[in-house]
Amino acid sequence: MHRVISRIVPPREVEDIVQETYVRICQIDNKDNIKQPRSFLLKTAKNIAFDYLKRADVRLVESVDNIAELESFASAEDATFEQVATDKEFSQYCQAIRQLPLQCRKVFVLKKVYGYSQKEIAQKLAISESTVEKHIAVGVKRCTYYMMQLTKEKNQDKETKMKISKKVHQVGRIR
Amino acid sequence: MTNVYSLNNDDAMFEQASQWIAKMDRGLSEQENEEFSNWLAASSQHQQLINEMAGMWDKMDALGNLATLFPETDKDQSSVKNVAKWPVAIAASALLALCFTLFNSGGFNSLLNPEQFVRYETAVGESSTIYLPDNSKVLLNTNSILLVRYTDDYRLLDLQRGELHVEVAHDKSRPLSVVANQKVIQAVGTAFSVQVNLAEIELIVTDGKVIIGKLPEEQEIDEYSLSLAQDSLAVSKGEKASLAVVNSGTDTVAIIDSKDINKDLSWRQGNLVFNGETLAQAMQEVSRYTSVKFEIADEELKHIKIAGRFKTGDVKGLIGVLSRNFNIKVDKVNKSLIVLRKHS
Repeated sequence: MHRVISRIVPPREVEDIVQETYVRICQIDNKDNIKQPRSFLLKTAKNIAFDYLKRADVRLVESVDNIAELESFASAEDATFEQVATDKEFSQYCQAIRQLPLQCRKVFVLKKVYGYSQKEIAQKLAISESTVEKHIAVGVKRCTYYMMQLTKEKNQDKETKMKISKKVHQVGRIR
Repeated sequence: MTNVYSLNNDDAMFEQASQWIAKMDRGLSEQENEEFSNWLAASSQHQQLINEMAGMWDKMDALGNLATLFPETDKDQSSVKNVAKWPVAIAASALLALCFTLFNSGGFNSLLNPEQFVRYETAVGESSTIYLPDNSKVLLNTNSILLVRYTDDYRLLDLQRGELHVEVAHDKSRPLSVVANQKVIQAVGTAFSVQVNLAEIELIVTDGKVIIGKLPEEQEIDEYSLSLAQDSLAVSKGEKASLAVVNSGTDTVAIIDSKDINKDLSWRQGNLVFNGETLAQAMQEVSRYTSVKFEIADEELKHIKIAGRFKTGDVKGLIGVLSRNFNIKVDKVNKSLIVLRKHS
């Protein structure tokens, strides 16, 4: 605890809690104990793929290539599975959610921060369950784009740095 | 997010993948299960994308950490279902916000010969860690007095004022007892917190189990007065007990949520955590750690709820935040008195 940790804030609207200041408070608190995930969608997806592969009729229809790929998907020891978010990812997720449209952001916060089911969210916000599902789909897509954009920028940074160091090296050689 | 996609060209695929995530979260029907299998099998890109999206989705559950600090307020006007989380937070805070300050230990002390004890004391706003000869570790919170006596037969911690947390080293041959206000809290290999107040003693057991007894009146503390009956009241890990002071009411034990334990004992890390306590409750807790007295001038102000984390003793920081975030006017009357009132 070397930073000044004094920040008292009034409770706000649900969707506001992914704001930066709140996130910072939370990060200070949870440096060491970011919670285990509650949901296991990745595992679910893999199980579905696995069940699919077990069925005999599939093998008759699909090309051999596809089967091999799906097998590797279903059986891959995945690094992200059961892994918890790092501190950095935590704040990136918050940023990602912050750029969602208001209603979509509300749904996301209720889902991921408070752990409500889609049905409960629909009741809370007085919207239909299919609307909740749509908001979640839009949110997942946008957040994925956001995270990929971050990765892309990081990689470009790396490339630029590498190019610069190469140039320096060349100059050195000429001299 | 290691794979490279073209952000613009594959939009339809992203759309489908995110829809599958939303559907999986809601639960797939048998038919959808079939469709999803086919979609996955159709392309390795589909599999990769689901891999990434589902991975992110799962990891995003880490955001649940925010909920512990920000219980849902339900201020939303469109809300139809009232999920009453605030009352829970308030109940928890009621446990925390007890009466503190200046317990006058009075007549009980006369039983003990102070010369046989090692004395530890913390000033207001101070806390200290004490390593005892047997490797037991004591954290003494603000404004506390502790007398320690170790013999071959027992280990005695006499908490005269304030609050402590102790991690007890295992030693069956001489049980460790914390004595506070005529009560004996005894442990063999465990960790617990004791806070002595005017009206009660608060006990939180963070590990193991302790038993509770009472000191015989008008008697020197020795091996015998510290040997408790087998059927004594027991308090276990994850429980919080409120022990009545001499001849006033009964002892009660309640299960305490691990979240609340962390909050109640956050002083051990030099933090105070508020989760919707009223300003009055929060300032009372804050005042344990500083010699500055606070007055809240407006009745309305006393009842506003606050949430956040506050470094014990950082009065200046706290005041800054109060005035900025709550529109509170802070009057420093003098060095030791601060009046809070609503900004007009």
